[in-house]
Amino acid sequence: MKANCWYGKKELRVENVPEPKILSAGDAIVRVTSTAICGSDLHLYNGFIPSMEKGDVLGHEFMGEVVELGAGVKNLSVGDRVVVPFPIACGACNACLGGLWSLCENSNPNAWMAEKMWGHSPAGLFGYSHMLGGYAGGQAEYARVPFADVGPLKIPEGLTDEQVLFLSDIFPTGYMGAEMCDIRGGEVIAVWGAGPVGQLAIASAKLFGAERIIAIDRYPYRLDMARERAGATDTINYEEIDVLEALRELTGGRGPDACIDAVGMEAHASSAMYAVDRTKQALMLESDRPLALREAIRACKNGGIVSVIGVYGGFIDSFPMGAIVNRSLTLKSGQCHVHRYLRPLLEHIQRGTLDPSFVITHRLPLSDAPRAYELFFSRTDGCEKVVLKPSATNGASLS
Amino acid sequence: MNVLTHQPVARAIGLFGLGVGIAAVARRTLAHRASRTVRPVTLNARITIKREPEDVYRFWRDLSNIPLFMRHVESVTESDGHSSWCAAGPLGTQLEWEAEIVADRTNERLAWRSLEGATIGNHGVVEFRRAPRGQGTEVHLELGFEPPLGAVGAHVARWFEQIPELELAGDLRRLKQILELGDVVRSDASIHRGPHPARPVKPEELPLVRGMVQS
Repeated sequence: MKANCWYGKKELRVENVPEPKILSAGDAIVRVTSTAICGSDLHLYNGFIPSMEKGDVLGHEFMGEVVELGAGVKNLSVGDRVVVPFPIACGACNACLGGLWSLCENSNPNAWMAEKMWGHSPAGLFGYSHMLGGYAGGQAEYARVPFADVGPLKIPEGLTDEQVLFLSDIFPTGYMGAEMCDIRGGEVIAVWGAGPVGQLAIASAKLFGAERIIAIDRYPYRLDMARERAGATDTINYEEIDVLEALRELTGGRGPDACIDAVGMEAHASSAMYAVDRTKQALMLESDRPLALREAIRACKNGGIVSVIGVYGGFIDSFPMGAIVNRSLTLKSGQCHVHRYLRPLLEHIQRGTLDPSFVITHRLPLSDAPRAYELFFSRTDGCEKVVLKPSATNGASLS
Repeated sequence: MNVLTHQPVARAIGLFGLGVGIAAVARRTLAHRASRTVRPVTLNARITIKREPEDVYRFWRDLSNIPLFMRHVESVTESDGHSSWCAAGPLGTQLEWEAEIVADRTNERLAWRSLEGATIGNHGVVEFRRAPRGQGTEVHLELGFEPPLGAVGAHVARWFEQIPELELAGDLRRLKQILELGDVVRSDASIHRGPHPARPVKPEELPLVRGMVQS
């Protein structure tokens, strides 16, 4: 079968690899009908995530049709159409039973690698390095899905792939980012990064009842989408105006009640600090560039919440701990506990209160994956979100 | 415990270069160089398993279950109060020894020790403690090895120092998977020894999946 494989920094190849087989009684094999490229895949593409092996199959946002089931699977049947959450969760350990699905204690067979890096291990993820399990990803024609009774969500008839695909990651991730802001109605929320997760954090903050939602990015097309489609009330292009000053102006000097970092480890900024962090990263003195995070912390109102859903992998410098302590800020974070949000967010999609497919700008065949990554990375052609179709043939434009 | 399994450790951590793990490994190596004399090696590991202490004790007390989760142990057979162990040893060697249970407190503690004549004298103690707030059972494991004297002994001791508690922690993690899920968890890469891309297994590689459950 065809699969999008990682071979190093900015080196992807769509190759023929063996089709996946049932390895445990709880497995399902899914024929992938739609798969997407995540912003976090760009961290792999740019070589910032350790413990990758040449030949790894990428992809953690995918859905499709169940074509084979292990002997122990009870909740699914062959032919079911399912969306697969990106964290792999067993459903039986203390973390899963406590709703902390992305911290499953059993799904990472390489837990020791993560323990070396982070102290303890989170769940294994599809297609996201060996320290997070060494699982083949879903940017492929077929994928093996462990714990098939626990993760995959059956999709009712009448919904398109594009409406439900993002239940796999970015919709719940954006939603959790907004949920962590404790919105009760009337708040001002600032969102750094108007990529797909930022857009869905904005849309979710609106659902929760935020009064003013401010999107911060440097690409006009992304800020336009935030305002016109996601529901941002204000936008700030950080290349044109000073973000902290603009936020003071928009909030009567208080600062946003909560700030969402939807950028993560490869932040860009129009400041001298950007050059400093880039250099440190190149010299491996720090692994992650926390420019958006630092700014979010500085901007946040006294006693406010900083919600971090952008991906960080390792270590950052010049962390403004003083601001957190002296201004009673609360820092919340986590890889999304996707399983927790699947059904409630499916209901939003069914009722039409939020259709996450508005972020899609490109539809390409799986065989064009390398080009699709480059489009997404370089923000060329107004690229916001790419959906890959394994069944389409090379060179076809599906848009 | 297979020396090969340590290559991915070095690779994974070396790739990153930030040195969290490297520092630990370096300390270990330096400490080792400082003393080349043969001395006993003690390894510790612990894990919390969401099962009653009775269940965990019962599973462990049937020593023939040990190879299901301890990677280097190939078989344990018990008869007349003695057990025969067969395990992969240093540098591709095969080790066999006899052991006896020296302490057995039902649902709480189990200790064993190799008998006279073992190439590498060894002992083990495992304790089962009820975890707070209904979280199950804490399993605390200690393994001790007494390498033989002489140059060979020094080699063996070094091998044990380089196969650190990581491997043992992996053993306990597999025990947890078996007791909580009924099976060892496998990723596309983890079924292989040593580094391997995360991609579906080739048909000829399927026998690698030890104890595989057929669909």
